[in-house]
Amino acid sequence: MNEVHEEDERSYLISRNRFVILIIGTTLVSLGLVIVAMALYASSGAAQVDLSRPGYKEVRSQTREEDPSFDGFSASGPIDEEALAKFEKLFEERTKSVVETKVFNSDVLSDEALRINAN
Amino acid sequence: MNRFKPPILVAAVGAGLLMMSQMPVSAQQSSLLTDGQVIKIKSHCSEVQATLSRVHANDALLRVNRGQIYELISSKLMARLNSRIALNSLDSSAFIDVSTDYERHMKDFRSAYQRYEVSLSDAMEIDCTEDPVKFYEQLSDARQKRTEVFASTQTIADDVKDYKKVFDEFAKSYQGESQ
Repeated sequence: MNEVHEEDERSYLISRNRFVILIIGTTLVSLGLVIVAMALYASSGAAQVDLSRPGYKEVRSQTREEDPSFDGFSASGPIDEEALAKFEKLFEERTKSVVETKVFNSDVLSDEALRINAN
Repeated sequence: MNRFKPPILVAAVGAGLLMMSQMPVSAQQSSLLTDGQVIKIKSHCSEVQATLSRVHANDALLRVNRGQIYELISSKLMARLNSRIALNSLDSSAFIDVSTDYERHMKDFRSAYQRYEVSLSDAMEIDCTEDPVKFYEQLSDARQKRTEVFASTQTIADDVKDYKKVFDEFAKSYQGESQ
């Protein structure tokens, strides 16, 4: 008898506060989805290349613009001397910086650079 | 009651030893830093943090620009040449081998940079006036991870050179056959 009474009371409370329960429920679901999205954002590596982050304001304008006229090498067509010469030219142009310029090699984080060396 | 005293005593001593082993050995770790360095870190903390912030931003820009070049080389050059050679029923296996390595090393570069950026961000969040030892440890970790990023860029550069070598050999053999 008591159980039936409790069940009825519970149902009454729920039906009386349906709107509040709906709001709380949707808020919790939204929070959960935001947490999942943020976890994916951090773990996927997108955070590292997202220059819209506040700390990257100064360098945002310095990103390399992709040349709209550059179509790359065509994936279709014959393999002949002309095609090979064209590929060689494109490849050498685009890989020059990769081969000749070293990046992330400087000691910008060294004690000397940060002026926290022992001397 | 007396029967339980020794085991309780042993348990208490054991727990105490376990807790002590978990405590940071700050005296030992600070031996990596001289007293002079600790003072310098504390006194120049804001300047150091400003420098780290600049490095963080500049490295992000470098990552984006370099990443774009790597992607362009892969998608608009290597992949297309490989496809064209295969469509002409020629042997592209050597090209594919190098391209596969290149793709794998690009992923390694992205992962290495991600680890470095997280480590550097962690260092930037530490208050170096309050905890210079922890700050220096985190900075050392970021330094090491930056070295790994550099190593990954060098591996990619080697793959580019290898691809060029394969191409030169292919072009040479093609010219030899066509003559």
